[in-house]
Amino acid sequence: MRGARRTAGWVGAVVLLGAVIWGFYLLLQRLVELGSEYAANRYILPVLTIALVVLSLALGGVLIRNLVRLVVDRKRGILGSRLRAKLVFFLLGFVLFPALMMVYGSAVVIKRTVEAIVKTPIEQVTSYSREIVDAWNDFLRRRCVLEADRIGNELERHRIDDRTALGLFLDGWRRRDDLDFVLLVRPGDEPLLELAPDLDISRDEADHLAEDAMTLVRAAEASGRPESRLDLLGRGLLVHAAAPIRAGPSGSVVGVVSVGLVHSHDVTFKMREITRQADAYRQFRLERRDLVRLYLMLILLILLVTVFLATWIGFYLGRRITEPIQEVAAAAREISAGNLGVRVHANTGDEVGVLVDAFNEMAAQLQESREVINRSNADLRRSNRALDERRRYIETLVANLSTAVISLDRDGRVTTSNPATERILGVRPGTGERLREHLGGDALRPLADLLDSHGGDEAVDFREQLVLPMARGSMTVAVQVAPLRGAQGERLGTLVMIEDLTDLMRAQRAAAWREVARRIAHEIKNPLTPIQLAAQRLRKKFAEGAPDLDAVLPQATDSIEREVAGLKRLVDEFSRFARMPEVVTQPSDVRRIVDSVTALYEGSPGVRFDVDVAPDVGEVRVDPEQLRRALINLVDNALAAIDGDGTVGIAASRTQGRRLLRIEVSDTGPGIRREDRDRLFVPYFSTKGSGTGLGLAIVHRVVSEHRGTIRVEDNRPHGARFVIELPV
Amino acid sequence: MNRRVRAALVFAVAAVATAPGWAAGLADARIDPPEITRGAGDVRVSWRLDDAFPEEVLERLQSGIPVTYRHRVELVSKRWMPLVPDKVLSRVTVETTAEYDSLTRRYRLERVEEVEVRGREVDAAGALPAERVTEDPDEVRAFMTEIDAVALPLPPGLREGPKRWIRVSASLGRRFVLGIFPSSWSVSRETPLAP
Repeated sequence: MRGARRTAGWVGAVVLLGAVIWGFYLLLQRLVELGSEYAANRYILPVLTIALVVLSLALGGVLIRNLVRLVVDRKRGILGSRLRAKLVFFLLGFVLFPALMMVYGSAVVIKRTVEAIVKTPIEQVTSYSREIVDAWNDFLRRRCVLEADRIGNELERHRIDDRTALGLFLDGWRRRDDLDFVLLVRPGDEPLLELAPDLDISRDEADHLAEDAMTLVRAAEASGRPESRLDLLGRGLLVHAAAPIRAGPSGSVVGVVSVGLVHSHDVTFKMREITRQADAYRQFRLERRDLVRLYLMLILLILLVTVFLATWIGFYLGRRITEPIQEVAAAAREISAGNLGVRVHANTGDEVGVLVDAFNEMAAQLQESREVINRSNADLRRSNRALDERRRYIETLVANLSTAVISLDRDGRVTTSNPATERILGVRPGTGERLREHLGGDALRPLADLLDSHGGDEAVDFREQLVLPMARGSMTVAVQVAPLRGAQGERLGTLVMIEDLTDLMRAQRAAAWREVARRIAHEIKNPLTPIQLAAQRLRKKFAEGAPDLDAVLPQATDSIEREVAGLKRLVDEFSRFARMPEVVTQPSDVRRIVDSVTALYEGSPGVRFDVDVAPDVGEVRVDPEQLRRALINLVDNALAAIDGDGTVGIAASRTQGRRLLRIEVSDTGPGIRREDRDRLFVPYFSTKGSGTGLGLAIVHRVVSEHRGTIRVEDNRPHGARFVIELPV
Repeated sequence: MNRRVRAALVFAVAAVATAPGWAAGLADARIDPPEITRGAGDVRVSWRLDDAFPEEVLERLQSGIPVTYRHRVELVSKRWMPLVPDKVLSRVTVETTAEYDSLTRRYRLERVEEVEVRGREVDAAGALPAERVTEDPDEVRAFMTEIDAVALPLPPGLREGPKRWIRVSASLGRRFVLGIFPSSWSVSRETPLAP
């Protein structure tokens, strides 16, 4: 619809412009055809003036209106007003300057041309021609006057009354003087007209001739003196004169004689042309200023039309360019305000249209991106909410954990710590503080030493158990240090977890003691039955006076002694376990300790010892006797497991940057069931029928006294492997 | 803008604005005091234009260009408010035209009269002869510039008074304003209508 209106507007403008150009063309054609006569036309100048005034007013109105609008737009800072102003003034200047030059040049050329034409000898020639015509006609008029006067005098002298004779007289005179007619008018007598027989005039022209001659006769009669005139006679020219006939030199008028000559059509035509051309040239000279003015007005009109069109085109082009830009700017503002659904509908079909299309495409992409972002934001919000919930859950979880959890960044500064930290350690390092600064007291020094022994803040993954001498009593804690790693495996920091095992250990100890009591009771109860049976048998034999009393008595007493001896041995073992000395560490050669152990079992049938002590193990600070006892217990168990056929392995090495002494004792026996592994180190737990169940408990105690750990693993391809790790 | 430039501009504008066109010789044209004679139901007005038929006009006429003078005699009623046009009670327009035939060297003179009373055209009774021919330029000059005894009708019921004036005017040709815009070259004269 909009395009159709625009097309119709263009068609209308083209038609209007064509009409104007055609009108100018016709006007110029008429001017060329009619020359100066048209300049004198009483309508053309006012019409041109009105056209000029109307166009000037229209142009002025359009210019003023649009200039005011431009100024207002510029003051308001409306986009495109500067471009429109520049375009209009550029086009105006572009057209106005050469147009003014053209007008000035045309005016000069026209004026000089007209003046040059005026100054040519043509006017002189035409003027002379006309004067010749006038002189010739004057001569003929004078001759006619003379002839008429002479005929009148002759008639007065001869006094001819007979009309026939008079006619012959007049005709003779006419022929003699080569006149075209002679007319005699006398009072009381019919006018006598003698026409030349060869006079080439029509009857009507002859009648006109008679009338004109009579008119002149009456004029001469009235004035009493000769009269002459030129009268048009059809296409000819009549030169005639009338002279009164007087009776005597000063007598009364007794008649009038009129004579005349008739120029032929051809001569008359030529005379007419000569006078007409002379008149035209005089008119041209007199009207030349009007003519120049007319041409100037036409040029001014063209100038005004051109300027008007240029201005209009300037405004039109300005609007055509700036309106889409304004729409784009408005749409951009809308988009910046968040309305991404806005589109520009300007369809210019040119580069501006390309800009508009690109803008619309950009807006569509922005809208699409915004929708994607919105969806992503919604997803992100959901994820964040879930993460937040998860974080809060984890924080709550961590906060409610009984285990102290401390996270350190890569610089060893605390990033988080949960309340259990303060509950367990009595301190709670704040965010950004160094953990080591809070571990300066005597109670926490073992923890600090442990961390230091594992590399301080850079401690790698390890788990150890510590006894902290807290003011409220000794506290057994399990310390686990693990590196915090990102998704790409990069180290983000360190996680320190400290678990208060005091209660657990107490419970385990209570359970262990309950188990010990149960086993001791069981062990004690077992020999009591035979003792009781032997005593009851003796009492019965003695009461019966049994003859075999003598034989039974030694048997019963032997049985009682044997069981009591077993009880004594049981009590001795327990006493020995209870009386284990305190660990006294000293630099000790690990290889020597291992060798002293294997030396005890040299020569054992069916047993192979595989000893592998790394050369760099060297000396470590341990209690050699206690460690030796622990290894002997482990080797004893291994030998019992292989039952005289198998391999017992002993290996010693340094691990974790030489901070740990690792000793492994393995066998190729049947291995240890998983359900038994948790109770292996509990006193009096034994999988052997003949064991006291204190060997591994002793080993565990020795290792614990050295602040080390012991665990049991499966040996490959079969058997069990005890791994001792001691900090050194 | 200094004084010299301003003066030059004023002179240029004045020179252009008063560009006379072909009627340059009419600058001194004027109307002699008209002779007014009261008649029955009309007034007879005769007047003459002085210096209104200069040689320039005669030259134009002899070059074949028709020359027309439009004379007007009006009975007007003056307004009390300035700048308000007078009310025309009656008007006689006499249009005199002269045309020269260069071949016969005679002038054809034509006179047309129109009479209006209160804006309505009425018959021009007693009008002068409409057409004649002459060879005498003086007769042409007199024909064009001397108007004799034009009967200006008095509207019925006309109340005499000081506001009634006889205005005689003549439009003698064309001149140009600002060198471009044509306007009529007119002279006029007003005389109170005597009782």
